[in-house]
Amino acid sequence: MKNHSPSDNHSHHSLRLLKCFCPPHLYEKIEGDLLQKFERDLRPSRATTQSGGKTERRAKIRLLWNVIRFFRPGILLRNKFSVELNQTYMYKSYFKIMMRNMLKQKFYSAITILGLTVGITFALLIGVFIWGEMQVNTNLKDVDRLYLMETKYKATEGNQPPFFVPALLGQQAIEQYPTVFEKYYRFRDRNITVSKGDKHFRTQSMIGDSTFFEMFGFPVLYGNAKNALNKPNSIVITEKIALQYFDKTDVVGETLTLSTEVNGLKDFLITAVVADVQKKNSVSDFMNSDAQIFLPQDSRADFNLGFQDEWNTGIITFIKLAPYASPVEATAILNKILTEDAPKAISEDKTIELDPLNNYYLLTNHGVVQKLIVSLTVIALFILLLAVTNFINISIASSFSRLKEVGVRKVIGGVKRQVLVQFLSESLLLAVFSGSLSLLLYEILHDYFGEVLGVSLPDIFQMNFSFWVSMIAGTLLIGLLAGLYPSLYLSATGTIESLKGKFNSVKGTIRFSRGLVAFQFLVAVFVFITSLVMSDQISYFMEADLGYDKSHVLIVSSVPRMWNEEGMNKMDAVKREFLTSVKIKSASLSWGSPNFQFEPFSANINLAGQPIDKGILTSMASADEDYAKVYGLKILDGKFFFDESESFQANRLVLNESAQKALSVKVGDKLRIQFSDKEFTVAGIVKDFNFESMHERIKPVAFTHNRDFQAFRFFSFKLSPGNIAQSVEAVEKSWKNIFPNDPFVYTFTDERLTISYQTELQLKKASAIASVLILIIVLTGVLGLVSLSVAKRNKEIGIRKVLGASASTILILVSREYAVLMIVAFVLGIPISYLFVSQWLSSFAYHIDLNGWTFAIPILILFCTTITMVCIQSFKTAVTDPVKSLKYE
Amino acid sequence: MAKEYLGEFEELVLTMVAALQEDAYGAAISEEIETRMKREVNLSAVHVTLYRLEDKGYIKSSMGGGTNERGGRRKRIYTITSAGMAMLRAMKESRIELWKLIPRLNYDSMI
Repeated sequence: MKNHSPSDNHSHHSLRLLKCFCPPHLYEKIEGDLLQKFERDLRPSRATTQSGGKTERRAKIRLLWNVIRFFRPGILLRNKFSVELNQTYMYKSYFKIMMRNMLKQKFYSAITILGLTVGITFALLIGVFIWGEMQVNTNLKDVDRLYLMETKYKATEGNQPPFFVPALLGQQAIEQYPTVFEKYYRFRDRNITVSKGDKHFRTQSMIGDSTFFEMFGFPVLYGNAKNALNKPNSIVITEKIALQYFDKTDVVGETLTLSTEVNGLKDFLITAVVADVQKKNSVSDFMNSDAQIFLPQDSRADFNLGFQDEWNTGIITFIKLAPYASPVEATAILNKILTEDAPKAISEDKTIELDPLNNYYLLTNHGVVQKLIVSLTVIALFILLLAVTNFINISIASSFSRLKEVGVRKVIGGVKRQVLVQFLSESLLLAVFSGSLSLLLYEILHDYFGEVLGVSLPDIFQMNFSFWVSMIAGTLLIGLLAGLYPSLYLSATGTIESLKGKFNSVKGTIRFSRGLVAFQFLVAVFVFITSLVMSDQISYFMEADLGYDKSHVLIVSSVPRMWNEEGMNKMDAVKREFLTSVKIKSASLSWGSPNFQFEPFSANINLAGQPIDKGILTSMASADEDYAKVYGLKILDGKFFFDESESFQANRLVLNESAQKALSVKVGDKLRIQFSDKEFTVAGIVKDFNFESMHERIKPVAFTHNRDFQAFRFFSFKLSPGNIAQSVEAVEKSWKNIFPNDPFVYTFTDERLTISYQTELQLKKASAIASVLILIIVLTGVLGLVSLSVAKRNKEIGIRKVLGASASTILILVSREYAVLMIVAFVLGIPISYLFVSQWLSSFAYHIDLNGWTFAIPILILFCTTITMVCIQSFKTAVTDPVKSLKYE
Repeated sequence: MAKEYLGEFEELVLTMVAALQEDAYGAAISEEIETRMKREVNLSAVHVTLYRLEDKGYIKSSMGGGTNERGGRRKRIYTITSAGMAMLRAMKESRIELWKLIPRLNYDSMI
């Protein structure tokens, strides 16, 4: 039975409404009568229970209606208005005085409003961006119980990626400990050419267990989620893919043709269509792969992915713990299963860890996203802080003109609290005004800013309730912070002093103001230096000598995967055909390409005859003999597999310098590779090159020839310089001729490099924007302060001039104060920035060296602009005829 | 006496106050009117009328106790003043005077 007490939501609202207009002395009895009536309206529902809810609703509506009926002159006019009216008049007067003051001092009002608006807008943009990043993965079902299994190797270097774990582990865990583990989903990914009629696209897939939907709760539009991935040759696609191929979404029962590695072209039956999922999540967008099609576990055979039911297959496993199961306990159980059930060779070099999905996105990849979020938050807070200090400084400095007003208010009976309220409400009003301006600016700028950061920011009309709450609360807080000190200080000034226009504690305020200015300079210097170093480091990434030539190299990733002898022959022929084009200088077929999961796996290699487990862990790459030519790898000794004149030689190996040094071998030596019983001959040594992130050191690399392994993924073309667009067109044309059933998906090496440093580039752009904003805020703040202090020292300057000071002496006098402040700020700022910046740089294996100029340039720029501005601003006063400034005394 | 005048609804409410005695408060009056006169009245109308009557000095009020039925809110109990009673009586008498006129008029027209 529901409780019909008056605290029920709806009746509560109605009564609150009543409270708004009902005279207080009548309120209680009216409310009582209304409640009594409400109870009476409810009563029939107890007799006839079947329509209880309906009666209740009707009673509530009647209650609201009765309340509204009380809104009549007979009730309203019994309110006593006198007190409220009086206060409204007071606020009206405050408002009028404020507007007059602002109009009188347009320049300073503009500076404060500008500063606050810039600060709030920037904070808004950053805040919305960060909020979006924090939402990643939150849409997954039971995300707080989802974990990614990760392998932690005992060796420190040259391991497989951590997300590959033995394939049987998840399954064993569920079978043996069903009370701890609830479900698992294992998958491997493949980039697959999907065709329908003459539409061919390259699409990222996830090939995995049928638990996909129950596990993550992705919304299914059509088809049955339960058994969509149970049968072989079934496929689940996203809405986007459905539209792409069929121009409609209800496509269950249709087929798509997939080009498989092992079984050639194969038809798959669409069993379900998933709604376009939240764009970023760590499952379908694992490692930014953006999977759009989902295949059952049986399809692994088609794509040459090994078997799911053995210990030595590496697979990506998500696991869901039972409610209230402890992750620590679960980890212990997983490791126990691994050591007890898995073969020793699998279990001995690793332990298993559980990585919670709810913060996986933030912490993965060296925690790069989290670092970005923290840096951006700090920058946004700095900018807000600067805007607030500007506000404080300028209100204090300009409050001289309002001291008399305070005095008069106090003389005619105003008390301290009223003055405080007056000035606080002024700053709150200003903050609210700036906040509204910021919303407008946000609406204008969010697209541009989103582009800079490489995300899309929602516009204002899509914001939810909590955004508005925090926006309003934040704005009011800023207004309070900014206005608190000036209003406390103005209201505390004694009546007589205020009337005289003198401060009681001039020294204290000036020190405080100076402290704030020094602080502003400190922040400015810190942000400048940091953003300069960041941008240097990031350009170093982009322009550093990576050991290979990245210009004009086109990489095509949509190569049909005919991984057999016939395919190899076909590819050779195709390559010759491509080379007939004048636009293509050289071409190469390979497994990896720069910043494209270069290595298929790592293995120990050692001299033939030596024990293989004592060997050097080496990244195994695979390419054909033209790879060095396309990427301009420098051959130090020997040749890249064989000369053009030679025919194919099996079982040859090319090492990079690191591998050569680690093994101390020379050309002609014989080597053994783990997992292979053949012997390989070292054919050549290439200079070290950096195909992966600069976060990490160059590892030992060994190239084997494609033909020995019969697997490949990329075609790389070195284009002749000149019109690149035309060259690409030419390649595409011949591609369409040669492979009519495969799309032409390409990227340039340097574009790929940009993508792999995306987060760093975001940081660089954001910090550059922040530097400019900070410069604007600090300089306008200083400008305001200078002009105020010059105006105040008008007479002093006049007297100095009468006594013979020249204009230049006066300029020095005024700017000296700021010079001292800046020097103090720089002395403090340099060590702080140095510590921070060197810490940041140390997270990169390859980084720029810090030199004096990195620190000197920002300081010089800041110093010179500030002094120039101070001089320009005070120049007018310095050259004025002293008679003018002195004649009114 | 001639200047004072009560509207029809005012008279009704005033009569109810006199009749209900200890139980005369807003909700009870409107309920009573509804059940006895079979007439839909609005709570706000009753309240406004009560206040007006109080202003005119025909009734006076005091706070009564609260009951659970009203969510613990107290009632304001109204009692009729002697001026109110006199007013009611005067009205009743004038009505009866008027009523006395009715039969004769009827006979005249019938004859």
